[in-house]
Amino acid sequence: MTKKASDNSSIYHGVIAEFSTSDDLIHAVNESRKKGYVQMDAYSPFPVHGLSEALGHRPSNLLVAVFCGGLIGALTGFGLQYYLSVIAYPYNVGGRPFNSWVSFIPIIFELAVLFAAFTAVFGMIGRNGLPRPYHPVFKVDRFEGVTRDKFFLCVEADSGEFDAKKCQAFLEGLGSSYVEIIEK
Amino acid sequence: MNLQTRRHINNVSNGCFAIGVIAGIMTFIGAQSSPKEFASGYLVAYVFWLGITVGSSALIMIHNLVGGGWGMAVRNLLDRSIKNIALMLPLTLPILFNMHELYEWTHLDVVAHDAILQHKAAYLNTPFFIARMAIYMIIWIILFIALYHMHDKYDHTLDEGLLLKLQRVSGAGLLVYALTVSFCSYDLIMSLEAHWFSTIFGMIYMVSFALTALAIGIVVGVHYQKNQLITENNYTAKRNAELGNLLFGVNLVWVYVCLSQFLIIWSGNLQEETPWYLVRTQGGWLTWIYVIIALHFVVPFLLLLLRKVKENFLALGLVATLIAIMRYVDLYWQIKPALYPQPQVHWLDFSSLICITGLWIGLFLRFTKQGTLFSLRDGPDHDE
Repeated sequence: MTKKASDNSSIYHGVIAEFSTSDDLIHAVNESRKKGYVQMDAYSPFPVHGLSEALGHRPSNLLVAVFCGGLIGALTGFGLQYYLSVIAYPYNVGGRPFNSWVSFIPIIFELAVLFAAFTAVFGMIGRNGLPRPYHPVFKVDRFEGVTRDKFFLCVEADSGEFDAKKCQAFLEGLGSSYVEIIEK
Repeated sequence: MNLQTRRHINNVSNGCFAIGVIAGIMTFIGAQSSPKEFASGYLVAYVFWLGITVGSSALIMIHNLVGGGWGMAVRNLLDRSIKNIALMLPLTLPILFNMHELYEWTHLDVVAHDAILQHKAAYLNTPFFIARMAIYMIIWIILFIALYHMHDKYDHTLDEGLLLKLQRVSGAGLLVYALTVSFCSYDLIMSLEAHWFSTIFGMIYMVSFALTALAIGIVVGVHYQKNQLITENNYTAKRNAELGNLLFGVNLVWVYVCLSQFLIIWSGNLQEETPWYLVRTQGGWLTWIYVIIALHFVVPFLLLLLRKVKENFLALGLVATLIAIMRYVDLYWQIKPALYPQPQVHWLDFSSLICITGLWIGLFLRFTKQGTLFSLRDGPDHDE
């Protein structure tokens, strides 16, 4: 355990606490929010119902980006086909107009879906800060329990009025079996 | 459901029956002087409500197979909806009596001079048509009785063996749904223009029926939730959003199949295929298709993209209402141009729609008085 007695919060990542049930974890999240901690992250071996609501996760605004991605895809789809069949290589097929937009629709639709999906996937990865080979919580040996049967709550240092010692005592008071202060 | 609610539902139900019967009498009188207007207007209204009744069974069977909270929210309403096949059975009779007004292939003198209709006469003839309608009805009645009673029993006993049986019936039932709805749409609608054919036509109606049933299911679910007839635990905001996503998806599938038919015929540009679209995209009917594209596809599409709309009971109810109304408008545009090259909205269109609507809702409300409006086995674990 880190013993450095300093209130300089910039050297700390935060304080991590281990819990053995998902109910304890949600309880701890709720109590920490009441206490005034804002920046928190919770780790669990499986999706816990109600956890993201407790953490106060807001609906992401990725939606707008995905819509724009879809729109750009649709325009690209139309533009490609318009350029090909009207400008670059106009070809008379059974007397149909060069700009046969009806037959362009499947490709327009496909590209709209493709671009929207790419925006969603890469936007999600980007906004989650991935790829991320190093994370301070990896320093905690017991953290590997999160892949089996343990639940962790990490109150992060940029969370309101952060004092590592006080936070540690607070989390211990919530019935955590193990609390550790993590440096950056 | 307390005594007061029961009495209230009784009154509303009686009112619906009264409106339906009065409209029915007016329609009957009007039909004597203008049988063609009556027959075509009645067919639109009949197919609209038949779609809701039969389409509900598709949603029930899908829910039996895949489960999910969305289905639990409207489950028992859909169960009541399929019981209304008892009403659709006698309502088929006016169509059978007026076949001569609707279907060119019933005119033997026309068939005698038409090589194509002669070739099709083995299938398109009056006795076989009536027999087929009877077969669809018998199949639906048997299937719907089985679905209703097995689910009711499972709800009370929670016997896992029964669930497995219910799933087997649903798996086979969806196949039966596909076949009966396809052939029924060929008979009732496609044969209005007997020279024309489209292989995706049945698919369009399978989707249309399920879409109409889903829209009406949401409208009724939201209404009951607002009036606290379904508790907040059954029709939750989360399930409302799921139903909204489903409505978005099914509506998009409908657009997809309709566009597929149009695209294939447009690119083929063959003279035996194009007339169906030619009459429907000329003169007054062209306005109708623009309205359908705008209000059946573009507006609901954009609205249902918004999470706020799907999480709001009233907003989703209104979008579902719009889709249900546009389903009727689309059916009108599919059926009427076969007989009228220019749109002529007749008062018999409205009176036959009001007649069937009144009777259907009246009977539906009667059914809702029995048992509970939500499934007894419903619980939060269905949302996982």
